[in-house]
Amino acid sequence: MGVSEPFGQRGRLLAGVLLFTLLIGMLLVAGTTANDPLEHQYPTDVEVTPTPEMYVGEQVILGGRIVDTDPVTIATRASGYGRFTLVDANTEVRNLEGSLQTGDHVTVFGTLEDENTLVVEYGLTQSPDDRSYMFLVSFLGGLWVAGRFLTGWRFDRKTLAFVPRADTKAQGDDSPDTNSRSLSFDETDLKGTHESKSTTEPDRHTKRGDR
Amino acid sequence: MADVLTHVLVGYIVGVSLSFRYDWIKTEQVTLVMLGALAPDFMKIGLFVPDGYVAHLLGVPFSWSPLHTLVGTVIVISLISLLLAPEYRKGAIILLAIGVATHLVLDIALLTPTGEAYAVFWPLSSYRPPSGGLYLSTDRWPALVAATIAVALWAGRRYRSESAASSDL
Repeated sequence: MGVSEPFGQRGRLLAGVLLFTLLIGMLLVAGTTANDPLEHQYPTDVEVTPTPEMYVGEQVILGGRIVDTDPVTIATRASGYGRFTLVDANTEVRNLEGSLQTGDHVTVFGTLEDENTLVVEYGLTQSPDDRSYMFLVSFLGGLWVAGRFLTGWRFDRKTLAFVPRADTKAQGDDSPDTNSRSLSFDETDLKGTHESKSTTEPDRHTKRGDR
Repeated sequence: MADVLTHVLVGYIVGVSLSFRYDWIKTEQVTLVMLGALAPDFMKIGLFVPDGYVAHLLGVPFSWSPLHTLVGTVIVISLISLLLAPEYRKGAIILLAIGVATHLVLDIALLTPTGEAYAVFWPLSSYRPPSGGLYLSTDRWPALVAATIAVALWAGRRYRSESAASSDL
């Protein structure tokens, strides 16, 4: 067995409970804050579409589909309702090749000049179809890590902790230093394990990611 | 948020690159860098269990977002390291933190509608750094570029261990 718990299993449990409590506390506090760290701080089309007059002169984010190109007009609702004319959309939308076409999906940020005109300061265009690609490869990415962790590490019941599977053979070695421990393995044996793992895993998954 | 595959591939690239330099970084430790690179996206649990649903169950407001901030990820990787045997903990924290750092940098580089990234330092600060504007989370090229580099490194690593093994004979 390796190094024993520095503060015993009780200390470890206590540290875990404290950290977990702290984390849950953060999630609860974030729920109460109006300023969610991941959300933008500006009103969006959800609020602006029904009562645009309340947001004139303010900076807002509008997302929608282009329904006209001269002038550039979006509909924030799929029904075609919630129409806003976009000023400077073709120059301020960042990831645009050429100009916006009818049917393109954009998310634009700017100042609402009047009830149905937005002066665009920044924005992006994004196809909603690409989202299924993103979900698929994200799922594969998650599976890859889970698979690697489960094949590389095992739960040791004696220490109630995860240890590398490759270290099982080195259990007799009681050296407390991680570095010297790792280096004390039979080098050729370890390389053999590496090789067999790495020949299959990254290759398989990166190929999927190429789609 | 860039897609998870890109994050994990970048974690692999960084982990394998470090393994060339540091002998104590083996396959299992490369996995830890990848796990760190994935960790901020634990907030994606919200896709399956939305904030509103948890809030409804608990009866108090709730948000998964802090899992994607600097402080939140420090707590998460500390918890992960506690699950590992003590002799691996210090190395694990370093590698998980490196993975997390790659994730946060990649996400700040994303193109956002406002040109601002998210509040990565929350709750210490609600400052939103300017976003890099480099790519969208739905773009395919970041994963392609990362995959190409990852395959090259994987081949390099394999070649390296093979030549080391043959010189041992």
